[in-house]
Amino acid sequence: MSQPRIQPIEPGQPVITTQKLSKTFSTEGVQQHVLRNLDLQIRSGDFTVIMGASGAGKSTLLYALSGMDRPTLGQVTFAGRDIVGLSESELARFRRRHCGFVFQQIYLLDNMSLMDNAMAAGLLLGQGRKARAAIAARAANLFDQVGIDAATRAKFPAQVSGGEAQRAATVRGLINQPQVLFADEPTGALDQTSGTAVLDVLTGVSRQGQTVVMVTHDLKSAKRGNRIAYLRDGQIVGDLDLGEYQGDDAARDAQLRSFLVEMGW
Amino acid sequence: MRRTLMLAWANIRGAKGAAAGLLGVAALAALVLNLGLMMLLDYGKAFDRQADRANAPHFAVSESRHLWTEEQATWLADHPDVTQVEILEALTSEATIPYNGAEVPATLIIMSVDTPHSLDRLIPMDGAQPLGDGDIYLPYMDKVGGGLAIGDAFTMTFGTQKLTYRIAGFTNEAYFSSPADNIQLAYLNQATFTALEAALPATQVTLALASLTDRDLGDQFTQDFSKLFVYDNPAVAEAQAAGEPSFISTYRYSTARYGRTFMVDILSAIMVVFAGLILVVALIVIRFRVRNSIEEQMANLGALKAVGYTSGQIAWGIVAQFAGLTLVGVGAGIGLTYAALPAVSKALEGQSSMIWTAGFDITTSAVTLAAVVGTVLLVTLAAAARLRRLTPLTALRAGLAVHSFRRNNLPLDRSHGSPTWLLGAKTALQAKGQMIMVALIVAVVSFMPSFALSCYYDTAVNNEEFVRTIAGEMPDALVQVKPAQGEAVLADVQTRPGVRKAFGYSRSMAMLIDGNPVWAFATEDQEQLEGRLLYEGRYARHENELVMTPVLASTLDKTIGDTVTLSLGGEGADYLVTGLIQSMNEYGMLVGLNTDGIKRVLPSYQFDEVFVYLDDIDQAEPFLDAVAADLGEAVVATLPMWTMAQAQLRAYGDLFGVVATAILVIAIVVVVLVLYLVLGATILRRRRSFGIQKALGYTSGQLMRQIAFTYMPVIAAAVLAGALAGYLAFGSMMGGIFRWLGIVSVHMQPWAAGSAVLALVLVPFAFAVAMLVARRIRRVSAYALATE
Repeated sequence: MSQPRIQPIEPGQPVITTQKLSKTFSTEGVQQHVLRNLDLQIRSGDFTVIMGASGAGKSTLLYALSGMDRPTLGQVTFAGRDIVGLSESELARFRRRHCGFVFQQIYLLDNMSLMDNAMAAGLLLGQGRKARAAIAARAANLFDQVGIDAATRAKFPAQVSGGEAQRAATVRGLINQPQVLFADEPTGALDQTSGTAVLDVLTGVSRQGQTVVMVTHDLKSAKRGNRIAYLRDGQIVGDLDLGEYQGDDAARDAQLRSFLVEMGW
Repeated sequence: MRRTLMLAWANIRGAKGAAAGLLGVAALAALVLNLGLMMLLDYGKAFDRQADRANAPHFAVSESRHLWTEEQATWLADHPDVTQVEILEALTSEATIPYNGAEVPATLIIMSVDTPHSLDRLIPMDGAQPLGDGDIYLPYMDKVGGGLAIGDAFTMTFGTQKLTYRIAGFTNEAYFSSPADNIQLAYLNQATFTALEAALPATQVTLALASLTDRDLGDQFTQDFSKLFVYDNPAVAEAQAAGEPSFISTYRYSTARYGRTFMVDILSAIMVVFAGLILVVALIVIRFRVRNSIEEQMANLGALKAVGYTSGQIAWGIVAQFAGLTLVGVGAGIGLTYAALPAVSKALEGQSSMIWTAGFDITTSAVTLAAVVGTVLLVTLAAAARLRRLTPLTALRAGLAVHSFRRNNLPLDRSHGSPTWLLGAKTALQAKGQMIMVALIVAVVSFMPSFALSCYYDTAVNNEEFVRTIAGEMPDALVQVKPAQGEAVLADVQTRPGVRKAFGYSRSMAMLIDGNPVWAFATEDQEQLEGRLLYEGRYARHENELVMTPVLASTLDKTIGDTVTLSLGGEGADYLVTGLIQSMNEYGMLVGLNTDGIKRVLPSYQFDEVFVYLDDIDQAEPFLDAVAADLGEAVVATLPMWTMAQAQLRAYGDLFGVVATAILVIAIVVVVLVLYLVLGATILRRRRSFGIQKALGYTSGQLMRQIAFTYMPVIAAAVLAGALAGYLAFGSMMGGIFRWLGIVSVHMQPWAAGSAVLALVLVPFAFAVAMLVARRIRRVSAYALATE
């Protein structure tokens, strides 16, 4: 079974490109066109935030970009390779190697410790003694970065707070050093403090060069991105680059608010 | 009630596959249980029905004509329990007949088709042709068990002659047609009969048939007759001593019935036990499904409670769901019983030669229904009882502690192995209860075929020990001699090349022991016997010693060291019991003495058989041909006993082959159903976990292997344990079965290769089924999970 060949991408270069991406759902004969001929580029190193009203197709777009779901029509090119034509198994291998995920519902495996949750993903890419040790060391390092101590890592998801669980899920998303970390409303199920902690983690890894694509409808979360893509009626209707306002939080804030008002948010 | 049923129906519709699986298990349990019960309760009655149609007697005696007396006829006619007597002329002799591709010994009674008799009526079966000269009617057993057909040549040794007849038809003989001891009644036309009667005067007998007011009186009636005219009859002893025909044999209704039904009784008992095991499996699975269903639908149950449903209503909804499914399954199983009956009846015919046409049996159906549905109700109610502890809020939060992980088995950062294997093993270690359940079920279903395969092997493939156990003392070759010339024949035989051992023997001499009827066998030196007879004490060495069966010891309340009185023709002598022997012959009423011992009550005793043991058993037939040719008239008949017994008893092997196959098939079906139900439920319950893993990059193949690996160690261990238990328990279980039949010491060995092959086949089979069932994981979509 051939592995999709993905080339290393220089920062600022497109890592994902969609062309005429469409997704239609059929429910009892009624068709719902969630994405319509959508064209989008995700650049390497960006923290891209996808916003839009409820039902606009944000999550659908995220999962189409990440190979978790197949579009009805159109192309998704991941670093020069079309992933739409990959088989289920090839897509699974593609995801484990190139994508990391953070879900709104957290979705840790509840019968495993936080450390094992990270290892379960990490071991997909290396199983020898040395590889295992390297993955464990990387996991420990990431847990340290997100502020989860050794005692907490040994706990089961049901034994930790929502914030700790979501930070552990972020470690799991990053364990395989993915080209893109996809986050679907990562703070949606968390209280404000926990949500902020998670956003701090995402911002931190983004600053280290990690490409992040996040779906949110929360303004505070959106502020963490350096690019905002606004989705309406299945199409990107607005694209705001906040990179030029780096270091000027007030200007970023004003620019974002103005953009969202313009988008009718 | 309506709401409860609606809940139940909604639950069933929500899990159609699982519902179908449960339906299958319930149907299978009901099918096997109902069939087993019908065989157990109706097969004997079917014999009674057949006997009633043929106006079968409840007592019969066949006696050399010169021994028959008016006194006996009067006793029969005047007995208050007798409702009808018929005194007929017939021919009777020990014979060898073709049966199932071999020559086997039989006691053959031959009558003229023109002899009028209303007792034990002649009922020719479909296709029977009129009897011409040289034609013969045989009982149906020769067709279904013996493999003979109309038009075949039937060559037998009857008395001292080899005779060949053409089979013109088969009769639905009720009374004289016992596959167990091979007693058969055949018919010739008057001319052929008269010719044979003239040619073989020694075989001429009076056949007296009597019908009683109650068939259950047959045993006592036979005993009373035997005491008066068989066991203590000086005329018989004198005739024996003089070498004159001294044939006398009684036949009772219970024996005729037992001979036709005992193997079916054993089979049905095995089936009922097996049905019980399937039911236990079904109950374990149902309990699992109920608990699983509650856990799965926790939030829904909370919502129902929140809107006002009581715990009772919800519990009854679940109970109605499973009880309803079981009810439908049991109905289907009972229906299937009747669909399977013709095939089952056909399979049993070879052993019973009885056409079993059972109508709808409301009793067995009711018992089956009550047993299966009742136990399911109890188990379901018990499993659903936990709902009472559930508050709406707890349920809505899915908070009933269904998972309380305390220990992190196999931490992935420190354990070695592929993630697929490690995750499977972690799950297994966290679900000990479920693993124990699977292990129990698989061990049980592996045990039964392992045991059944050994039964088949020991009765069909390598049946030497079985023959030794069943048949008692069995020489390689038997030479029947005229008593006066027995010593001369023995001396000649002992000097022939290839003879390992030979000695004089007499079987079945009727006597009284402490006033009770008994059959005696005698030989010069009992230590020469090679059969598995003696199991306690020692053989009789002196003239005042004897050995006896446990059945007889129990009847007389005697044991080793006690003294008994043996009498024959008025002569009586005391004997010391020195040992206990096991035998199914003569219904366990048997004693053994040495020659000096028998002469104390029968001074004129001379043996009438020579038992011969050869260096090469395959030389039995040429050896016997040479003996018959060389010794002429001194030899009455010759029989290759060992090969004949093996061939005759192989029919049991065929039957056990069918049973072993059926048990194996049922075991396989149960394994498939259980894996389908348990794995199906597991996939459903863990679909979130599998969805997450798919999102992380696990392929469907990896997840399928993970699911299979979760169960395989337990399944493999359980298969090995079950197969090993079947192997190890074989001896003691066969011992139990044979003890029931009067054999105390059994040395049948389990079939190691059979159990090993079973384990080697079942484990990969279970893995394949697990992988197949786990294919459902392909339908779990990571995306569907993420957008749930």
